[in-house]
Amino acid sequence: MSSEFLAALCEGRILASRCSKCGSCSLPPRQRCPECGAETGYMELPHRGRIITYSEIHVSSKAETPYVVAIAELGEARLPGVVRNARYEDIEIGDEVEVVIEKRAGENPPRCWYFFRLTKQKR
Amino acid sequence: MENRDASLCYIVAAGMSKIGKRGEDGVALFVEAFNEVANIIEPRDIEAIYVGVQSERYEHQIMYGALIAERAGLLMREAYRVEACAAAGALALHTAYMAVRSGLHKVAMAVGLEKMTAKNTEEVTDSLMSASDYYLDQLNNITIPAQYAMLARRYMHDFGAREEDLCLVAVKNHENALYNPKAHIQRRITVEECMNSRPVARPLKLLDSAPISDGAAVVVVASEDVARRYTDTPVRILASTVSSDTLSISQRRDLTWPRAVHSAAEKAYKQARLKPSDIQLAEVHDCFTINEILLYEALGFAPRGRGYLLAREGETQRGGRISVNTSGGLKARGHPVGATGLAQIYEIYQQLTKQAGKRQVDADRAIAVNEGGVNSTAVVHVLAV
Repeated sequence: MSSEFLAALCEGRILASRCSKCGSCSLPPRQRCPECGAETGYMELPHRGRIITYSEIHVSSKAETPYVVAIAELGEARLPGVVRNARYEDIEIGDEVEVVIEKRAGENPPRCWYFFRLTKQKR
Repeated sequence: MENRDASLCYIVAAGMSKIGKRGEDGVALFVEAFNEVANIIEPRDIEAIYVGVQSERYEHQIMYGALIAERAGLLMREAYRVEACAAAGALALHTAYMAVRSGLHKVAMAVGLEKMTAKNTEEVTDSLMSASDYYLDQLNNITIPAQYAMLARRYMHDFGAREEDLCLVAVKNHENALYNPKAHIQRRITVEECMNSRPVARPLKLLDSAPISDGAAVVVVASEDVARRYTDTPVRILASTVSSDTLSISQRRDLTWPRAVHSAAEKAYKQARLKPSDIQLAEVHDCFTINEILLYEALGFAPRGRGYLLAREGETQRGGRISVNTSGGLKARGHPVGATGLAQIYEIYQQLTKQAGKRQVDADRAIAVNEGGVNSTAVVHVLAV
């Protein structure tokens, strides 16, 4: 169901799954709950959430370094991603981010992807 | 504990190459490790071979089961590769243990090897990244070191540990490796040096990270009825367990709790009929310093959130309350990924059979934790003499 996740991104939606039995949420969405094996249903996530942890990557073959990554809590689910507009020093756990979805250039899928924008500092 | 179970499983021999930046290929390193056991056991008694290797990206080679059988002079044996990234080595031992305990084979050999240093750091980082969730982590270029770094950041936030506390683990393990002639890095370091080393994924720095290494290790196991043909000091495998968790740490409810390690350890303690306080010696998967601290807690050596205090108070130094990573750990003994799980077992075998030389500690019950991904596959062994 990763394909549904990718298709939803192109429609501006972030799609997770939620267990019908234990309520556990997963990304990308999957048919069975990893915790209890029960069937899940789809759930759309809010585009704003809070950073629960982060890092700044200095060794990578994939992108120009350094870049900042974080895991954000969006409603009941957790999504990792790149924080485009911040350095390590700018961030604290609990800071709010917004998910920004964009079209990707180039041949390779996925056609749409996302990044995080730090919106405001914690008081 | 002394039941007469005919299906008990013993380690009767263990061998390991020198770990480091080696000129030889991976198979040559296997031969170096194998030569150490070939004098102790009769190689032709080996009925099955299980090989842990992380990736074909380093040497463009798969089919390690048949290849190792060929190079060991053991054609026509059951031989195949097992894989769980950095847990492949201990997983090979788990497979050998199952083969013996099931009664299918009397003597089996676990092999782990990796030849990594021909690739540069970026290529190795990329190869290791295939152990993470493709969509969530790979497409976001979130490296494996960054995932451990995010665990570290959250742990420091929740429990008040400092970067210096993480560095203390590195200092301890480098100190231990000074007495291990087969260790990759034999150099004493200070907390200050660690703190000043260049960032890999903040807050983790170069000296929080295990090096990229080449090496191989082998462990031969045998059933109860034949074990004493090979040695007077067989080391009994009291437990061999495996548990799995999500590939992406983002999908875990409790970020800083290595749940698969805790689960595998719980199963292992139960199988072994031991509790954490019975353990005197441990080899744990310190691929990054933070993980040794997390594993102290998952293994029950320290309460939740207090693992970093063990390092601070010296309780896990060689000869401390629990000697942890007397070999130098992944941090300084080195981390040839597929070999690491068996390098841990090699160290415990040396210690329990009193062959550890200058780093010998007084121990007869030990635990080993080898994991793959980011504590996604956890393999735990409890060993005793």
